[in-house]
Amino acid sequence: MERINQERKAHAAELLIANKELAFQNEEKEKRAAELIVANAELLFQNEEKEQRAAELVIANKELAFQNEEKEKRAAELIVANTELLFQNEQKEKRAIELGIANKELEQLTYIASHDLQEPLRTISNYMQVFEEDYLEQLDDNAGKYIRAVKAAAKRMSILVQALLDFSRLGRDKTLTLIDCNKLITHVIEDLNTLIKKSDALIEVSEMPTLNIYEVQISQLFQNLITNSIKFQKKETKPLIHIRAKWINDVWQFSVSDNGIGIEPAYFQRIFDIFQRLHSEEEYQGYGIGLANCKKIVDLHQGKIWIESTLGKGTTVNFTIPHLSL
Amino acid sequence: MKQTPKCIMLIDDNADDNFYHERVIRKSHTTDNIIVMHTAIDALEYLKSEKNNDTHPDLIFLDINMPGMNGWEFLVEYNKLEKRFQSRAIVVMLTTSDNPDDKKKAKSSDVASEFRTKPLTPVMLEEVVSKYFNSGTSSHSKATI
Repeated sequence: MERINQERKAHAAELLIANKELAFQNEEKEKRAAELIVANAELLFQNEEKEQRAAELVIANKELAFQNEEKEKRAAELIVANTELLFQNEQKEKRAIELGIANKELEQLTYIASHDLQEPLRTISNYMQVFEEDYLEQLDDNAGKYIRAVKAAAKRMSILVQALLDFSRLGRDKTLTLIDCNKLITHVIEDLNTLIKKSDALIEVSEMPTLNIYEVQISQLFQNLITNSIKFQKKETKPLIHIRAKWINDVWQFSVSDNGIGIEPAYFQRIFDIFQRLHSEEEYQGYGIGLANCKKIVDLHQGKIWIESTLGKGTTVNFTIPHLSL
Repeated sequence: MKQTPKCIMLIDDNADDNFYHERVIRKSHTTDNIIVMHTAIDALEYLKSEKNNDTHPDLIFLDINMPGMNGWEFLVEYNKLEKRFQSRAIVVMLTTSDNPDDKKKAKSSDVASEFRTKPLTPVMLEEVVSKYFNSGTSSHSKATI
């Protein structure tokens, strides 16, 4: 009995321990359960966050897709614009080539015309020469006069045709060089020495600039202007010529002034056209070439040329030369 | 060089020019031996086949613009001829207009000695003869005109 009692006591004690143990385990499980609940809640929250992020990404994605489309559109537009520019460029090149061809043709035409016109002219002159040599003795004075007139006309036409050729070729072989115009004009005056001495002309030259020009052509320009000033002079006066230069509005403005016969304002433009003359051959000899050449030379330099004149008092020819890069 | 040209050749398709130039040469008493060729081809044939020294030109006046073979092409062919031929002749190119391009071309040519504008005049002939032949126009030649 005692033993049985003792055994029960022991058993009860064991049960108590077991109970305590279970209670502890229970507590632990509850704790775990509580922790799980917290963890669950946390997971839930994280899930929500992720969904939100995903939604945001979807939006961002859409935005990117839109931007991509825009960019593609823009690219397509650029391609169109590019094609258009390419086309325009091609057109311009075509135009430039056409212009080049037209220019060449014009030059060729002038050359052929000059050459083919010269040949029959020369034949006329030659046979007049032969005729004069062989038969003049047998003819009267009038016949001699007629022959001389034919010869003179043929010679004049020959000069005009050659002038046309020179005019069309003017500036074809040109090189832009830095030139001291003081020296250039001194050389021009030296070349014209005979004419200047003969006409007793006085030429005053102010300080000239050094600038980029087509030297040969500008020499020709000054030579033409000085020659004109001497040629178109009143019979009783000595030619007085002033050559000046000043820097105005970013260009060099040159002027050649004289005390000559002057020009009526109505002709200020026309005298720059080739073969335009204001006087008869008997009054003042010429071919109507000089000023046309001058204008073409100034055009080559991208400048302007114009006349100021008072009839009977004198003429000033002005021209400008802008800065030209070498 | 010889005293005066013994034989002068004119190469020109223009009969009027040939007439005038031949007359100028004859009147100058430079030589009586004048060969007139109307085409560059004929001139080449003559120069190739000719064996007689006396009728071989030592001065040639060559027109530039000719139908068929022109003056420039003639120069190329002439250059190919044997040295003994071309070493003897002075070639003067004659042209109608003062074309600077032609002048430049003539200057760079090995064969052409001169480049002149038509017509050939007594003064021009005298200049060429005194420049390339020792004595000027011979006064001993007998005139035929």
